Amino acid sequence: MTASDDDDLLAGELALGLLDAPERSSAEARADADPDFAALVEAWQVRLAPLLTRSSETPPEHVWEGIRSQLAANDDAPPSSAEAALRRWRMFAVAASAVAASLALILVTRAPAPPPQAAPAAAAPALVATLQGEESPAIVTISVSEPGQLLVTPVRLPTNGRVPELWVIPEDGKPRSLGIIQASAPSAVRVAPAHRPHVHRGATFAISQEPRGGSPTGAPTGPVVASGKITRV
Amino acid sequence: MTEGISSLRPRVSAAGDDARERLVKALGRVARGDRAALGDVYSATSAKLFGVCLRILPDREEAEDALQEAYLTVWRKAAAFDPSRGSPITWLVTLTRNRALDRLRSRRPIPSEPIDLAESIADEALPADSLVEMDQEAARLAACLGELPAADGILIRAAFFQGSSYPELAARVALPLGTVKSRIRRALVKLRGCLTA
Repeated sequence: MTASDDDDLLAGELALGLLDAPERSSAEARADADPDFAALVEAWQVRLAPLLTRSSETPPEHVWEGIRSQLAANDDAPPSSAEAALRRWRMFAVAASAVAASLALILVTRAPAPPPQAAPAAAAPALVATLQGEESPAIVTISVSEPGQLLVTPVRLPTNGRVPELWVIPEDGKPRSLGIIQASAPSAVRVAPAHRPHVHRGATFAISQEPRGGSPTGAPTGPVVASGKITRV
Repeated sequence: MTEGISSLRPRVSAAGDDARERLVKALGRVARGDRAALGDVYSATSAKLFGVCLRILPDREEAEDALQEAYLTVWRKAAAFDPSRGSPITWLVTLTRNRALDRLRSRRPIPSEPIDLAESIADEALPADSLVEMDQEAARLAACLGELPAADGILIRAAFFQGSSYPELAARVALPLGTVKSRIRRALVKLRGCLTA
């Protein structure tokens, strides 16, 4: 067996995942530094890929929705303009006007205000979503404290003199208001029974800035400052 | 062994070249932070990559999560893709396999059940008509794997689909590490010979 055969076998072992952790690190470092070796690894990947691509299946719609919402929450890329975000929300607002009537039923209660800095840790076991801003530095976590009861903890939530309102947006794209939340202390939010079916994995939470008293229309009227996908429930 | 690569490349059809070119361009735009381009990449590849996830993670919810993670990795790492070094689809498949294996291995327990080298591999014994539907490369790989001693094929598949390393495989088949290593290396040499013949 020649030296280059040895290299090629090592490349195959790396591509297959046979190496233990230290061997793998050293082989990966070599692939990064040595284009010839990297080409051998790539050749093995090409050889073996057909094992995995034998069958294709279109993934369900919510997979892409999840990816899109996490881009909105996490990326560092140049964000779309605030105006565009606002336009999107105005469109939501129109679409959602039909459900406005039911929003009157929502009950919002305030938390007995634990210190804000202690809340995220206490809520961590049932964390269901982390909301982040696309244009703003907002970070808000949402946990489920008991069925139908959310604990909404703003880590950072700019208000610009307005009040934050929480929405859930299920697959139909229509925001349902879950009520006004506090900007600088955790809020306990009771989800109205009518909206509970919308609070599920894959749906999106969003927070918009609204006039005092909340959205006058029952749909978001101000800019969305944070959004994030529900990852569990 | 670079002839191995070149012998595979010419089999890509002209239509495949176009698709590849579009994918390379879309990945370039993703690397510059273009979200619409990620949507293009997703449209072009998600069915194939979901197939990859399902192959490794039969639980659909987990496969869906792995697929999401794969595209989020694409979003963050697109700049690392170098079209001069390989095909975009191989890069995507490899990246997706890695995400799916990460997820498989993050579960407890990691795959550690004993492997019976005498068992038949029902899902790999493809009926002749399904061979027709596969593309050339897949059919060739299936044929070459079929030429290996059955036990070696089982070991290679366990490594590939479950991310089992040499030490894990040795434990799972209850054979000495050295035996497993030499067996798999011999199989890899045969496989390479068959595929590049």
